[in-house]
Amino acid sequence: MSAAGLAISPAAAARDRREALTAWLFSLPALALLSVMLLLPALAVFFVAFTDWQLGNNSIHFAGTANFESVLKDPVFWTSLRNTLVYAVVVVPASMALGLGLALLVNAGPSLRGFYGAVFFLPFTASLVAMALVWQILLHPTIGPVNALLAMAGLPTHNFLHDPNLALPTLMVIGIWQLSGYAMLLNLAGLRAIPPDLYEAARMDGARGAWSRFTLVTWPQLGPTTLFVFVVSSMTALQVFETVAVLTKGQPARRTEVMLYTIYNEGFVFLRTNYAAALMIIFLVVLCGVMLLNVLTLEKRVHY
Amino acid sequence: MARRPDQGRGSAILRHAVLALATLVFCIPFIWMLLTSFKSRPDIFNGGIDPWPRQWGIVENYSRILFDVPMPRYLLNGAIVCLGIMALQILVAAPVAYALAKLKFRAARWLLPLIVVALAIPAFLPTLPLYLAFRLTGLISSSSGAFGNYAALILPFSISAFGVFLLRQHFKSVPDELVHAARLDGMSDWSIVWRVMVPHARPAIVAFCIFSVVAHWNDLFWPLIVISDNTYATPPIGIIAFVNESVGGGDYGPLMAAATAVTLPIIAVYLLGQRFMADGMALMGK
Amino acid sequence: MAGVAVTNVRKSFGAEPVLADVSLDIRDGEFLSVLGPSGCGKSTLLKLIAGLDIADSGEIRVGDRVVSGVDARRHDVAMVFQSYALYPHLSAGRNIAVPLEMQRLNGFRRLPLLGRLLPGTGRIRAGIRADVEATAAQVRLSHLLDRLPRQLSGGERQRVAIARALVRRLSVLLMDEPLSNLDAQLRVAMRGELAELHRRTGLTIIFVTHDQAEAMSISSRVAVMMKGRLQQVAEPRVLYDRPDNLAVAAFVGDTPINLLPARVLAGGTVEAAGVRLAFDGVPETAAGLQMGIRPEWLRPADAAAADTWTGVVTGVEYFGAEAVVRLELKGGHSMTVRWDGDWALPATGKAQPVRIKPGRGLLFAASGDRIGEVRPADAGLAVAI
Repeated sequence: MSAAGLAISPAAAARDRREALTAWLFSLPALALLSVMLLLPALAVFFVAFTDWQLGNNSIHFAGTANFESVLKDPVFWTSLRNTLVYAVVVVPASMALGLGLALLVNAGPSLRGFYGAVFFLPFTASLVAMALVWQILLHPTIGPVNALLAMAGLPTHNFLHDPNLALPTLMVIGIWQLSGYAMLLNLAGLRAIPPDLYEAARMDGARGAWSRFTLVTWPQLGPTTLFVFVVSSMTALQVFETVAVLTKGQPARRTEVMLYTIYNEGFVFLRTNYAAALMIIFLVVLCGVMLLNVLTLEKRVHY
Repeated sequence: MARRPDQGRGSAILRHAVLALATLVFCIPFIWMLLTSFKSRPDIFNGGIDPWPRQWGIVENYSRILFDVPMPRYLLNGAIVCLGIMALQILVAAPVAYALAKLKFRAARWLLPLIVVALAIPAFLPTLPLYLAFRLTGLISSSSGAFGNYAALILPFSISAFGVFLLRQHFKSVPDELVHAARLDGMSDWSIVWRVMVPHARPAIVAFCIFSVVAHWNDLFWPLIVISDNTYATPPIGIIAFVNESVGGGDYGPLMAAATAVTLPIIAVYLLGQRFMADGMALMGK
Repeated sequence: MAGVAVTNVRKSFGAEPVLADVSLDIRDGEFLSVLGPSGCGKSTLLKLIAGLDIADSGEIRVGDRVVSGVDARRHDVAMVFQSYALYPHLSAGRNIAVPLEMQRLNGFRRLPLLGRLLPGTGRIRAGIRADVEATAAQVRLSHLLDRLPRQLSGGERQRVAIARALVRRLSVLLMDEPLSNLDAQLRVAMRGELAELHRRTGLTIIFVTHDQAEAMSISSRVAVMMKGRLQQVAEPRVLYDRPDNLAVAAFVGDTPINLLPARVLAGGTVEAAGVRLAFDGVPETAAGLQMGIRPEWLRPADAAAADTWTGVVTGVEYFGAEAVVRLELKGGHSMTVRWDGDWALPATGKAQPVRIKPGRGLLFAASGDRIGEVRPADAGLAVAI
């Protein structure tokens, strides 16, 4: 503070100290909880991953990279990782495209905007566990309306959730149904933030059609929104859990085994603590990698 | 965006047609859930695509989840946990957000970046050590009662980095003159937090509360880990418990009644607070 | 009742001195304006008196109590802010009540719902309500107490802010540019209301403004502040007629003062652009002098003479009651003359002689300080006008 060697009066110094003390008192509960509930546990995962410790063990030994090696040698891990990535690669772009399309349509006219916005967002707020069970009935091989409809149309019926080729795609459909409302709502906010002047300027510049207005104004202006939606949607999709835990339990034939479900089983059902920790760190690295890739490829689109 | 002159009646009708179709597709699960919960067992097992009940089973389905299955208890658990989390989050976040936004102290220089780092930690990462710590300290065990169970469900979420960050942004926009006026009016810093800052950021706080409640009402991962006694099950766990009990029984009517009971309150919360959504938009996601 | 004494106060932000050794005595019941351009340190001075900031050195007394270093809550001064600083979520009445609630209700009694159950809270709240209503009546707000700040006009918000400051019945009221957010007409009306309020309450008021007309019109004394220093503290009349230095002379007055280079002739006569005026107390060695002539002090003359400046009219701005005439003198000096609306307006491009009113004229040394006194008018000149 005394940049030019100027002395601060004792009274002012005392006041500064009082203010700093208040700030500390106000920060302390948050800092303590942040450390105990978030930061230290996150660090502890790294620690456990390099030991042989499992819940119930009385001794603990440094295990080097043994846990990581056994994860990487485990075919279940690779299946799980592949399923997770495939799931996200389909669900994220599809829900984003659907969300953008719905937002453009909702925003195109003045009437019933609030109603449509609320309706498309419902799946994101509703309990996914409950909704998964509803989907189970909808897709039920004997009493579900979807198969009834297929039969009426003369098409073959399916046991969607138990067919190895259809189980993961079915979960993807549920994921898209759930996530597009989120993308829609954010895009709706982004669209409203675009200054109307830009559309008028585009018209003056000769952009007559809807498509040229979209490419010239809407799409570039939505850049930051798109990046944000992409990051959050990717995180949500990569951490898909509820539908798997309720509907398929990773089956049939591990076709729906996904990372968070594997982590849950290893860490909290089989109690292989050290193995789960290594799994978590590898998954964390994957998440970071995906995010980095997203941000790097999308950056050009955001900074203009 | 102002209505463009080239938008005629035809395109307006087309817009509503497409959106109405999309609405139907998005809502089918909700409609099916509600109407199936009204159907009798034989009606459900007839299958088909007719959503409307021919034989009503509304009384038996709902009395089953009200009296045979402790659904009210699950809902109560959910309310206790969600309100507990929400209250703690605000109670912890508001003072630190005020300190970061309006007070001078050197620690702010690393505290704020720390909050941002915490923001980026995926929710699953701390669960493993927290589970171990809760097990080893006896907070969760087969004999732990209401306090241990509720604490295990609430404590890990008592600090929300999102909440701190959001409130700090909003508190920063409160004019300094208002803070000065409050001091001259005789307010302490603690009073300023609750009587000036929090009311000023009310829309953002309401939005945050809605997202907090929605997220924790629906959360499955952590409750699945810590709940061993279904007396303390939150609504999602309660539904899963119900499915497991009636395994293979195909009690779809009561099951859909349970799903409705779990989904309706949270949709009501969302619809009531919907007008505040714009402020809290950035809060969603994991 | 209490005055305020500021003694040798210094304050700097980092290496930047904002207040350099300021001493100022505000008498009990006085309406003192602190006048200066933005960034001169006047608001900082006000914050120090309020206790919102702490001086690096020096002492501040309110009444007979030293308050420097004491928390703002215990300074016992009230303040009206430029932005009014009303709590946007509270009604006008609740805004006014806040200082009393803080003073009379302890933390438990202030708790929502629970506080109302404590015995005695109701009685205290009733007392607060009565005081709020009495204060609101004082500033003619009684009918608006249930409105939120955003439902009030600028002038009404201003009155809420004043009522909130008055409600604790403190004897010192600080005002930080309180009129600057109002439109021109309302501002003039509010000036009158403030003067009236001061007369009625006998409060000690310290009023910070950058508007010299505002300061001159409502205060009993004005403290002119520039670059963190007090330039002059005086009654408005003295400030206008006998400014201590060039800076004050230039800042005070609606139309900028005319400045002409001047030199001393023998016998105390000073010559500026060809016209001689008699001054007392000017050293003959003085150099780099400037003569200051307010536009209001000039009158048109019928014909050029030894005691007139003659210039070509370069512009005329007519305002109805008056006009401003711009002249260009020989040697390139320009001169502004305040023209009475009744006088015939000169034509642009014509030569126009003007003469200074007897007994007027200021002389500034090269340092900027005012020196000498113009010799009082003698009978001969008075007849000539």
